[in-house]
Amino acid sequence: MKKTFNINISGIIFHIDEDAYEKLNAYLKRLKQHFTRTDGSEDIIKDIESRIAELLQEKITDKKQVVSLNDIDEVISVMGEPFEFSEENEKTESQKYSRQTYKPNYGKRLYRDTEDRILGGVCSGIAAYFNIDSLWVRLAFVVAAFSGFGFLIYIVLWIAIPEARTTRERLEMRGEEINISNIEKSIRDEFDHIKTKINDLTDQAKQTYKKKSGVHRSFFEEILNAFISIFKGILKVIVVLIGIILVIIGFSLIITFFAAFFGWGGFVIFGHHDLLAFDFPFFFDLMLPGDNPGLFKASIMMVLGIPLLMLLYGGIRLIFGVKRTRFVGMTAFNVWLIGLIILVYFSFTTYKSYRSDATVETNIEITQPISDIVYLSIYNDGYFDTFDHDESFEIDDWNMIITNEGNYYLLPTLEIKKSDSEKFELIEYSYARGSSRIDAKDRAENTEYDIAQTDSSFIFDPYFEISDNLQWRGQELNLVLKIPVGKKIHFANDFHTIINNYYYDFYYGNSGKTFIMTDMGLKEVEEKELSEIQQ
Amino acid sequence: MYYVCSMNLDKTKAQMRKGVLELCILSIISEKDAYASDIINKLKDSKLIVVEGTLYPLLTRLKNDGLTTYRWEESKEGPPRKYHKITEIGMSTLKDLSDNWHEMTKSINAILKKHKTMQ
Repeated sequence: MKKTFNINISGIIFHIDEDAYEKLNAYLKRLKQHFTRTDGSEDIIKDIESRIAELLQEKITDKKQVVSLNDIDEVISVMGEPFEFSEENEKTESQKYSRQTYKPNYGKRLYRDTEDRILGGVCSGIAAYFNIDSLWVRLAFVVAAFSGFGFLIYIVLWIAIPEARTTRERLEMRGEEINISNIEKSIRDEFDHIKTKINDLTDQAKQTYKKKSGVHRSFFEEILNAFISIFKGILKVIVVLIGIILVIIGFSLIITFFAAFFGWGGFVIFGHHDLLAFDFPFFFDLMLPGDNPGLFKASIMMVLGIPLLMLLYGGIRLIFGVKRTRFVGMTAFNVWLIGLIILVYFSFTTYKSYRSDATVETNIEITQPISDIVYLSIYNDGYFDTFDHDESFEIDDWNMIITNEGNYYLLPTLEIKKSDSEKFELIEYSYARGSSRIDAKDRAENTEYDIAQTDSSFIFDPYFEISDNLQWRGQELNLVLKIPVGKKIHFANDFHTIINNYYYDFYYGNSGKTFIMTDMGLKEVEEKELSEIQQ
Repeated sequence: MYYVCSMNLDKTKAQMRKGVLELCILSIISEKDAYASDIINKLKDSKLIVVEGTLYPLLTRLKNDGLTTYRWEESKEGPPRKYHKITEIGMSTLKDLSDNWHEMTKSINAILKKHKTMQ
């Protein structure tokens, strides 16, 4: 069952389906708009209407009494849309009209050319603006992407530059030749578009009004409708609220993300006891294979940044009720995927550069001390001891301190063992990872660490260094000091910085104390005994 | 090198058609009083118009310029029909235009022929 209307075209009555009626009505409106400024527009419309009546009449038979949507489509295709006959006949009229009422400024403007795009049409838009081949712009962006900033710039431009939607915008984008027919066409397009939209809207409003003013409506229906509209209102408020929350979250996360990423500020993490500032860019440079940190950063940015951008975008859409722009989600997903692939690739190469490990054992030659007691202390280099340890970040497993000034210190460990002979022995085990055993060994050998000995006192460097041209690959330096049975060692007050934590039997409090090596291992020597011995 | 942008080609064709449409309409009407459908059918046969809507503004303009008038005639099947009739001015304009047309076609054909032999 379908609702039909009775209409009168040129004095002839037609039964017409509701949808067909709407279509015909819209078509006539378009015609009227088109001819508004033409002389004798009323006559023209009347003529056309009567021709439409004639055409429709041919379609009506005894069996088929109602004009259907199909009929109207056929009639419209025979008569043609206004723009189809505008170019041919209305030139003089529209020229006058466009000259008088509209003096558009067809200066060039930057738009995204979505009809010629790879991602968002940014490059082709820029190319159109500068009147060059888009290939060069794209190449430039690809190159820029490798330096790390290209993608960010691209995404910012993507958001900032509007898409060229209308003919006029497309003309502006190219700064196309300003001739009358170009202008006319673009103005026509725009006007038709806007006018039909407004008309459709008023039509709709009228129809809803008519429907609403219909008499037969039950009380329940009214109540139900009231509830529905209230519910819809609440829903809308909720949606907008969600949107606002999304925008806030998205925005702050993006700020945080970029701040961390580019080291605009230190990145704050929870350390052992305090909040610690932590420098991300430095961390990347430290840990990653050196080939191409820019690309790697770009990929991280894509993988983490795009969901954040989409969060922001979704929020904005909810708040302003923006319609889904086609391809945004798809493109974002594609970029994200590309980022993921690069990230996986880098993870793999990173893994590869840590794959093997090697330990190099070196016997450090020492002069056997004459006395029974050796004194162990830490060299004070005047900087390491004075820098503020509160502003550093310690990674215990790696014996590493990263300061927020972008320095890192690798801490050696010292293990005290019983010597099998009568001699003191000092052995250095340096360890590193690398892409191969040879690489790892090379890195292990290239650590710089000094121990100074003057007779019975040993002064250990507080940290060891990696040769300048090498990167950090989990280097460790473990020292083993072998003490003959019966000999004593004294740890200086600050000695825990290299020896603490690592051995459960040597804790913080043992600094500044003296021990004696027994068959059972180290044993603490009380102050009293010590002074007795010394005496 | 032959490089023809299709959009400009369409435009050129449309402009050619536009130039001669008025002449054709006048000529059709001058033979016999005609109403829109007659004119449309003849023009359609010769592929001079694409959509019927093109015709009506032209008819109105011819009338407003005093080249044609019209009268109403009842129709058995449909709405009353507007029969277009050529006026004195219309006749002289038609003569003027068709003379011009013949001259033009002659010279244009000559140019085209020359071009063809050159090829």
